[in-house]
Amino acid sequence: MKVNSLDFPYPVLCANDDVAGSYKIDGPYVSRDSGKIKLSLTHILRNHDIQAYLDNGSAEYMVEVFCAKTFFRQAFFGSKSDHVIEINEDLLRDQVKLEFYLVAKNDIVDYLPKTAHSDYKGYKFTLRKGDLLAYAGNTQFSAPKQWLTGDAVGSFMQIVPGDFRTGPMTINLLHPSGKISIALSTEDYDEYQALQSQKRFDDIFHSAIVFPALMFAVSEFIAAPEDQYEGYAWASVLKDKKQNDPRVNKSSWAIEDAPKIAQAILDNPFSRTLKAITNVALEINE
Amino acid sequence: MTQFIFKSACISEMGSSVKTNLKSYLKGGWKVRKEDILVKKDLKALDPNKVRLLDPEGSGKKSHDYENAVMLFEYWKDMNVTQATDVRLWTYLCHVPFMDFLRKRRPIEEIPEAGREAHIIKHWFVMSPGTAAFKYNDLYLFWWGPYLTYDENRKDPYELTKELFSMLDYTRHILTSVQGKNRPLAHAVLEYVIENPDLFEQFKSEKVRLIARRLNFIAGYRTLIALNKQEIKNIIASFRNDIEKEKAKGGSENNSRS
Repeated sequence: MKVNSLDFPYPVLCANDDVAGSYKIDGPYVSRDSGKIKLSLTHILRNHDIQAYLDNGSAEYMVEVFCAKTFFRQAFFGSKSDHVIEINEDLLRDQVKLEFYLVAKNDIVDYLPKTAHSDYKGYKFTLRKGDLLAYAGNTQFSAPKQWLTGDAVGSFMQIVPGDFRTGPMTINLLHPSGKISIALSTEDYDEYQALQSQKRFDDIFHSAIVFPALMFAVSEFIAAPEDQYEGYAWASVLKDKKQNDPRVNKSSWAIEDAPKIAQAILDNPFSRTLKAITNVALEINE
Repeated sequence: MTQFIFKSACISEMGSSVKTNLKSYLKGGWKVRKEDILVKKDLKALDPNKVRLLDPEGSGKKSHDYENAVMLFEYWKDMNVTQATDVRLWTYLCHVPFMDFLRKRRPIEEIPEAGREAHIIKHWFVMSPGTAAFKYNDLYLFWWGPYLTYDENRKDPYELTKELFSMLDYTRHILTSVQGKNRPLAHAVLEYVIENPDLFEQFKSEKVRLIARRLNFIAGYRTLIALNKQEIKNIIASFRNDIEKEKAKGGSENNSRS
């Protein structure tokens, strides 16, 4: 549905004065994890009559997600104001449009909110499944740009259990998630999982796992033909940093610069690791 | 896992030098320079023995788009959407392994000289993934058509795909419209036509266009994306009488793909 002119044959809560009250969206906040794009938003409805339809199950929130380049067009429904949507990352590319609706879940007879404009006085309407009760507008986000803005390591790197019990970690730059994928032996992964929830070890892991993987990726990024890794989130992040990150955009990005660049992107992980080890040692001594 | 693709810079250069390279398009045999090629390590290499696209044949040049689409899609069924929107892959396939196929499918010599450059850009290149590529690039359509219509719950998972390739209206207009990108809606239209062969025996394209117009009108006040396939089929069935009455208003009776 394309809501261009906000004229309907019955009162709809939206930007005009058909129905008093408001329906707005807080968000969406876009994040990425484990190959999924996660959209977190809150529906903010200010109308008691329409809220009652939502509460009795006659209506529901609906978010339409549309990506023209991948022919992805799908509706996601929810009855609670907090709404989380997860979509496989590889189903979306570039611009993604979102539209926010409150729609009839079942047929609703004698529909007329008390807060409807006086023009509708004396009328009653029958709504069918999919008819609109409220509209909160639209927004869009760009999948690659989100990768670019994500400074958190998790936006371009993931640590997963490998299919081997022991032995060294492997690094995959061609993982379908688009991230640098580090596979640990299952034994190492189990121990890592047990420790990684304690934030005090983060800096240590940066030196031990993240730094070597990033250094490898930077070397590959420099050595490979210009668009060898086009479409991969990690390569987009590095491309963006090469152009815009003041910590590294003045570097020559020659292959021998890879260790220096990786350390700069991670804000000198060895210094942070030393501090973290010192803190852990102090805790033990106390 | 070593499919070749063109570099982006090479595609830009090729796009701006179609006129200069016209002979290669007319006679075939695109010369690939090593420096223009990338190795796409995450995609199974095309096996020319397994994907042997069928040329148009006979005096009417009957195309085998459906058969070709199933062949290409079956081979690259595990290709993900990110890979399938890589314009460098499709442009490479059009110029190297399938150059001869495209020359027969889209004969350049039948196009007036003034229109040849545009014709080549339209059918040999994918400048951006999406609607235009789906409409005009045969190889792109051969993968995306089955991807959008494959239904593993059917006895023949390609039944809807077969209907899709039976008529140009579907690929040029219906599946590429905003409503058509709603997959349950596209499947509902194709399925309704398959399930009512008598109704669509005559004036099929006119009748399908009527369905598209009506659904588009209804979508102006109802969120069809909220409905499932059966509910959309019920809406179509509600104006069956009008579909029955629809006849050709001049022009050809049918618009099958050629």
